[in-house]
Amino acid sequence: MALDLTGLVPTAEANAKVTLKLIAATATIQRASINRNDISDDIDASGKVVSFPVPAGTNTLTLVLLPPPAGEAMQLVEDCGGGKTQPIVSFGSGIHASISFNIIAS
Amino acid sequence: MTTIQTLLALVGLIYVLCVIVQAVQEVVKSALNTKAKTMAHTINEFMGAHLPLDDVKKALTTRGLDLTALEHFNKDDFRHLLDGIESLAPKLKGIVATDTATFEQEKDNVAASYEAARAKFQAAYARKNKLFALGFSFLIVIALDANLIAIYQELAADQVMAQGIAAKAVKATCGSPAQADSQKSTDLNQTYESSRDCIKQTLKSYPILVRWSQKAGKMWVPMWWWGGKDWDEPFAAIVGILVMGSLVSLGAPFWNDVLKGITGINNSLNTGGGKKSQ
Repeated sequence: MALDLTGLVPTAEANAKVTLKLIAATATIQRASINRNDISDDIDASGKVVSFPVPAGTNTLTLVLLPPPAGEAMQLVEDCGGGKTQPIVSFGSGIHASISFNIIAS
Repeated sequence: MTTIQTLLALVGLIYVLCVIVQAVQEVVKSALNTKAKTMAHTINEFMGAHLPLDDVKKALTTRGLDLTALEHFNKDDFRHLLDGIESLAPKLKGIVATDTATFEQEKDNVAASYEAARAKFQAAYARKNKLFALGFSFLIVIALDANLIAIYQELAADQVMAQGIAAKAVKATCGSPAQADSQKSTDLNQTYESSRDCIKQTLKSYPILVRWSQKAGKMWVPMWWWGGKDWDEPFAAIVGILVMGSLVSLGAPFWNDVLKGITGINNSLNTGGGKKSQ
């Protein structure tokens, strides 16, 4: 569990490795960036999981999604390992093309 | 739908600011004793020398009440209060035009017009409160640098924060106004401490409202400070602060209703339009 989600902004220890998982029927993560540095290579083959280390400071994470033509509910969670997850953000039915948020690491 | 969530979070933050303004207002109203002063002014204007303020205060004190209790008096209560004022008969002479009017009739006449005086008090007090709300809204928005445009931009770029604010802002409170009113006349320190703690806690929960940055000398200053980030876009900063101040001055009850309305729309969009009729 690298992320602390108790406040409004997720926090983590500097350089902690964070694994994010997109739970959606068909949508996938197409591209990912942290502080405008492309980390798309860290997206796994299924297009549902992305892992990256968070540098110290305020980091803006942007995930560009490939949504299906019809809207669907989706959830972004942290994959804590051992089958455990913690929810970060969720969306109801609708078309969502990107997700962006900050992670503060110290 | 993301736009609605951003708007929802923005309305949530405006509501939180209103709660802060309300808490500050309670402390200042307690310290200045505005309700009692407005009531004293109303009573003085009401009957002038025919019903001296000190006599009314004395009659209320005998009953363990202060001047603000008159707000809840109806004409019958006021009529009973007149019975408790000593040597009132000579002062009320001439209130009723008829020479044959008895002292009891004169008291009835005064009590009958009390409702109008109370309405006048309520109008004057509401007007004073609105002015206070307007002044404090701008003061707090400027002090925090809660620039509407900058906050909207931040929320639009951070969906996690926007969702977090949307989920919890509706619960923001610093005690109901009714509670604060009942406490204020008795314990200024208590009102001050509870408001201060509430404001501190609220700002800690919503750090986005405090747009301050640290200068080289480690001094924290708002972003409108000389050389601050607001100077990059001065027009947007001025408009953002002015609009935010105006919106906050509309008050917590208004924004609470708006927040609930937008939450309802957001929920029905999330569930794909809600229930279908059979």
